[in-house]
Formats: sequence, structure tokens, C-alpha cells
Amino acid sequence: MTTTTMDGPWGGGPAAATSDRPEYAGTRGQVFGLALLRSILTILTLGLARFWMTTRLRRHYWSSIRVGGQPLEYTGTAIELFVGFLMAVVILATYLAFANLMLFFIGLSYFQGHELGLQLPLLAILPMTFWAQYRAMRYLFARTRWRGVRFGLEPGAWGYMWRCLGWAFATLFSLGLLYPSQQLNLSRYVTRHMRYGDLRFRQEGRLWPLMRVWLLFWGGLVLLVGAPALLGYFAYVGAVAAGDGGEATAEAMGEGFVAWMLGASPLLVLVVVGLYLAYQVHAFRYLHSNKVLGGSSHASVRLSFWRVVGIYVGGALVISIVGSLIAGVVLAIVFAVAGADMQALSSVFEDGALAELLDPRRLGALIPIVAGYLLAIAVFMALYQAFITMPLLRAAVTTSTIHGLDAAARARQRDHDRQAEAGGFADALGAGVGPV
Amino acid sequence: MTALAKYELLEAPGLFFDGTSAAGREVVVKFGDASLILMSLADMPIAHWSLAGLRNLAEGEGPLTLTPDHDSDERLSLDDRDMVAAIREVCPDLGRGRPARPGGWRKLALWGAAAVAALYLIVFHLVPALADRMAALIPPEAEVAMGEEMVESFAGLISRGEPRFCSSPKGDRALAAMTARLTEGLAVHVPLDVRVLDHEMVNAFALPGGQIVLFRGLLEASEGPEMAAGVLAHEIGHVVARDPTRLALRAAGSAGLLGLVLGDFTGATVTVALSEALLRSSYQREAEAAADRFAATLLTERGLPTAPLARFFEILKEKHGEGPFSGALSHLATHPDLDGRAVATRAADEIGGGAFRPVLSDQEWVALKGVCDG
Repeated sequence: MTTTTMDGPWGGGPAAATSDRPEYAGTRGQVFGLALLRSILTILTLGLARFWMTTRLRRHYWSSIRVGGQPLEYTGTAIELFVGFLMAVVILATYLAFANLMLFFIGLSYFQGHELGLQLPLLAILPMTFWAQYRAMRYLFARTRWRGVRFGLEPGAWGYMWRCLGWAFATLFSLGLLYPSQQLNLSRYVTRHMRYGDLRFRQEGRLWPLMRVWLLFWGGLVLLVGAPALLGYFAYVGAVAAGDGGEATAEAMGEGFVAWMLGASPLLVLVVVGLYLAYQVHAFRYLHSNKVLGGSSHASVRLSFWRVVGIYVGGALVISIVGSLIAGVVLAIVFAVAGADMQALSSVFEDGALAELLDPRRLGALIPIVAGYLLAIAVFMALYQAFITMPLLRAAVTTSTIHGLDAAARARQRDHDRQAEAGGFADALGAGVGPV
Repeated sequence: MTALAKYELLEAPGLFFDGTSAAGREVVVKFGDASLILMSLADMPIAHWSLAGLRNLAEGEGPLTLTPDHDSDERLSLDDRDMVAAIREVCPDLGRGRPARPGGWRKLALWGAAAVAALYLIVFHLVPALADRMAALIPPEAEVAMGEEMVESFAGLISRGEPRFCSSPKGDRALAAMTARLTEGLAVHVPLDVRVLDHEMVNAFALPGGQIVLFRGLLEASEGPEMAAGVLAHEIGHVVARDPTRLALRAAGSAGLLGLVLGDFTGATVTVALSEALLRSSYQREAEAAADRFAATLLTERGLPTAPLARFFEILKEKHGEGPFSGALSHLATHPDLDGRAVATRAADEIGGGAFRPVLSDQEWVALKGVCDG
């Protein structure tokens, strides 16, 4: 670690080596310990305690990251998160009740209860989600400090929402082709609003470096799945239209296609998911390596695709092993308690009669199952943080290099951002932002 | 802080950030009386920080990031091992977090109360009122079309496969006669379509658009046509009150509100399902009670006794028992207590043991009971 230290407040010292490798100073064990207890508390309080878990974990993650030898600080509080959430509930509940009723009514009256019409209420939520995500990002930035100076995100949630909607439609109508364009433009918008002290960020970079990798993925998808499906469909239609004998051919073709899809599908899914992930890692690297602070400070982000895959696979392994252990223990307890009553228990799930669950005979078997389920969720949440979230964060941090750090030292302090919303809307809509 | 004497001569280099810019400044740190003194390299004192208020913002056991108090923007970065150890020893409150602002908890309580009040008003007053208004606004043709679709899927769900509706020439005529006896001159917003489902359950249900389904099991268990007519009258009550549509709208209106409150932690799905079941069951119980009253009135108007319907509730109770529904747990049952319903229905009876024109003749009743054999 090489830092530039200066003699006076204006940084008059030598413009010495100004490349810095950020460090990450926490361990998986610490994350698991912090997360486990708070996860259990969160579940026991029906989710009310999650704000304390989020705040504590964020504080730990932020201060584990050291740039130029100085750790990041997270200055948010759980109460700010909680109040922000309550505000969101009051406003959203009213909006949702009206919107859901209106849209469901329209669906019933004009679509005669058709499936698609009943999904209209989703329209109510989508725009809000974008708006909420920007506000949540703004809170995260405003509560982050480095060397005592605050970061920030200028107001711009409405602009973000309209841009997200517009680009979402563009991507939809281009069958996904325009996705990198969506990413680049949205990133430019957000980055333009980002601040460190009084210094601005800028998103540089062009579309083609992103698009050429995306085309590989998109083209592959079209070739492997889209084209055969389309060809098969046209052939099917043609065979049916050809008249007698045609139906038999059409059926045979249909069966053949289904068999091919089923046989190839696990491999297909793996390939598709892998290619998609590879693109996202590439986009992450490209977009973040092209952000510039204060005109001359920028990062080189070198996170590798295989490292990301390794983290996910390793994390999944750990989680499934622990999950099986817990399931085994719970089953053992259930057999000990319920014994021959398993028959009665399984019939409950068949009829789905809620009230029958409260039959005291069945409660005896049900309680360990419910308790085990809840405990398993808490353990999974903690394991996910410790074996996936934290390693990903550490990998992203330690494979980056920051150039021109002395430019960042020129930043003047920013005022405290009084936005009280703290990401409550995003939390309520299930569209949370940030690592926790 | 007598340990201070030990550290009187201890000095260490540090990096100071004054909180007005991100530029760092090399300083020399040493202890004063009950304070930490930061000196510039030119030996000029820059700051005195009280040891009692000193706080560490870094995590773990390594280097310190000190601040004189949580509201300050100043930072001091220290990684000299001896100095770090000394400060940790001398300042027991180093790791103490920011004290919660007193206004913070009050603000939380206020917004918490507002949220609870808003949710209560929305779920128990706003949504039901709007849903009821809207149910009346749905065009009848749309309701009928929806009901016809729903009958197929509901019946399919219950029959676990292709639903079989019973039909026989005499049975159909008997059913039509029973329906006519009850609905002659009755103003209903949609035409009634009554069918019999070939299933052994003792049950009946109404769907939007005037769709009523009676189960074969109900016909077989009925002690006479007046009992079946009573159940049919109850279902007609649901149709007239537009219950199925209103309930669907209410469910749509409150859908997702519970998910909103409980956040997106995974255990929420179970709690949400439970709470939504609770909500739905409370809506339905009012509707059932209202349909009971409608049935009693309708039967009486048409010159029929209500005692057979009361007897039906008693039979249901004998067959299935109240189970864990009695008393406090009755909140979870979608149908109010069968005892109460039997008593209320019997009380409305105006015929008692007297004479009345039967709703079906003996041959018609036999034909109806055998409608699934044809």
C-alpha cells in the first residue's frame, strides 16, 4: 500500500506513486457470527429486526474495505432505515390498495378474468421499484465516508424512473438486443449524479466493448433455443395446415422437440446461465474501470469470471451441506415426536385445510418442522452472507487498482444529506439495494 | 486514568483528516492530561481530543480510526502498535457506538403508529368499501363469462381432473322446478345457472355470474327436498350479494399489503400465507352470515320452512364436529359456528309443524337425487 501524504491541507506534497491496491480486512467467520444471531432475531420479530442486521453488516463490510490505508465508513442507523420503511408502508399501502383494485377491476371487466388481465396489478409496482432503487442508492452513498469526507448522490429519482421504464421497453421490444445500451445509459445517468465531497464522477466508455460480448451471449441464445423453437413452431403449423396425416406428423414433431429440449435442457441451462454471468462480470469490469472521479482518479477492475463462479459454487456447496444436516436433524426429531402420526400429518398437506393444522395432535409434529424451517432460513441467510456476499465483495475490492488517488484528496466536505427516506420503499417493494 | 503515567512519553506518527477536505496531514500523537494531543510536524499543536469522548470507527483489532466524538468530521488514523495498544487500554469506551438520538425513537413510534393506523383503515375499511362498490359496476356479461370459466377450473380442482356435471331429463326438470319455486319474480342481476357436480362431498358453492354448483353428496345426504332447497336459497343469497366477486376484489385489494409489511426475508412467505388466509376467512364469515339471513327470508317468503336448513347445519356438525373451531379458534374457520347458524335459522321458521306446499313432489325429489345416475 502506497499512500500519498501531504504536508498541508492543499496537498502540496510530491505527486508520488499514486496507484493503490484496496484491501479487504474482514473474515468469513466474523460475517457469519454477526449475521447468524441477527438473522434469528429478525425471524423471531417477523422481520422487524432486519434493520439492525442490515446496518450492522453494512458497517462491517464498509469498514473492512481500505483504500489508501483508510477504511470506508458507514454512518447509517437502523432507526433511519426503520422510519424510512414505515413511511413507505403508509404511502405504498394506500397507493397499492387503489392501484390493485382498479387494475383487477379492469382485468375482470374487460378481460373477463383472463389470466393476463389479472396480472395487471404488477404494472402498478414496476415504476415505483425503479424510483425506490435510486432513493436507496442515494441513502447508501450519503451515509458513506472516506477520510471523513462524505460521498453523495444528487437527487434524480424521477429521472431515473423514466429512463428505466423507457430502456426496459426498448430492451423488451428489441428482444433483449439493446440490453447493454440500457446498462450503459443508466450507468451514465447515475454516475453523473455521484459525488465524493465536491468532486464529481463521470462514466466514460462506449457501447461497442459491451455490445460485442453481449452479442456472443444473445447470439448463442438465439441459435441454441430461439431458432430451433421458431423453426419447430412453423413446421408444426405447416404440418397441421397440410391436412390429414399432417396432424400425426405434427404430433411426432412436437414430441421429438420436447424430448430434445428435455434431454438437452440441463446442459443448455448451465451454458446459458454461465454465458449470462460472464457477460455481467465483463460489464461490471468495463463500467467500473471507466468511472472517473474529479477528472483524473479512476480504477482498474480486474475481477475474473472464474473467481465469481468459484465463489458461487463453493457457497452453494457449503449451504447445501449445512442444509442437509439441518434437515436430517429436524426429520429425526419429527419422527421421535410424531412417530406413527405421519399419516395424519401428510393428509394435512393434501387437503390444505388451514384449521386442521391447529389440531393439538398434529401440533406436536408440526412445531419441530416449523422451528427447524425457521432456523434453517436464519442459518442460510448467515451462510449466504459469509460464503457468497462477503467473498464476492472481497474479490471485487482486492482485484481492483485505484489510480490518481491524490486527485481524490482534493475533495472538500459535503453537507449531511437530510433525505429521511433511507431506502424504505425499495425494502418494502422487495427491491433492496446494496450487499445486504 | 492512572495508566496515563505509563504513557507520558509515548509518541507516535499518525495521519490526520480535518473533516473539511480529504487531504491528510502527518501528525505526531501523544498523551496530555486526560486528552490526546495532535502536533504538526513542526511541533505546533493542532488539536486536543478528550480521552473520554474518543471513539474508534474501525472494526476489529488492527489500526485505529479515531474521532473526538461521533458528531465530528475529523479523523485520525493510527497504526503504530504501541500507541494503538495504549489507547485501547486507556479508553474503555473506545468502541462505544453512537448514542441514539432521543428524537429518533419518538419519530419511530409516531411513524409506527401511523403505519398501523393506515394499514388497519385500508384493509378493514377502504378496500372492502371500494370492492363492494366496484363489484356492482362489473358488466353482467363480463361476470357471466368469468363465472363460466371459473366453474370449470374450480370443479376441475375439486374433482382432481375432468369435472363431471350430472344431467338426466327428469332430474334436470326437478332442479329447474326447485329453482323456479325460489326465484319466481326475484330480481337477480344475472341469470342463474344451477348444476349438480358428481362428487361425494356434502357441499355447494356459488361463483360469479350466477353460477351455482350443488354436490351429489349434498343431495344424497338431504333428508327431503326442503333441506336441499334451503342450501340452494343460501347460495342464491351469495349470488344476489355478489359475494364471490366482492371477495375476489377484496383479496386483490389487500394482496401484497402483507408482503409489504413483512419485508422480503424468506421466512415471510409462510407468515404472509397464514395472514392472508386469516383475512380471507374473516371476510367470508360475514358473507356466510348474510347469506344465512337471506335464505331464511327467501324460504319464508316462498312459504317454506327453515327448520330443514337448520337441521342441515346440525347434520354437518355431527358429521365433522366443531374440531378446534369452538371458541377462540373460530376466527380461523371460514364458516361461523354451526350451532349458532342452526339456532338462528330455526328461529326464523314460521311454519313449524304446519302444512306447506312442498318444494318438490316425491317423484321429482327421487328424480333429482338420482340425477347423477342418468
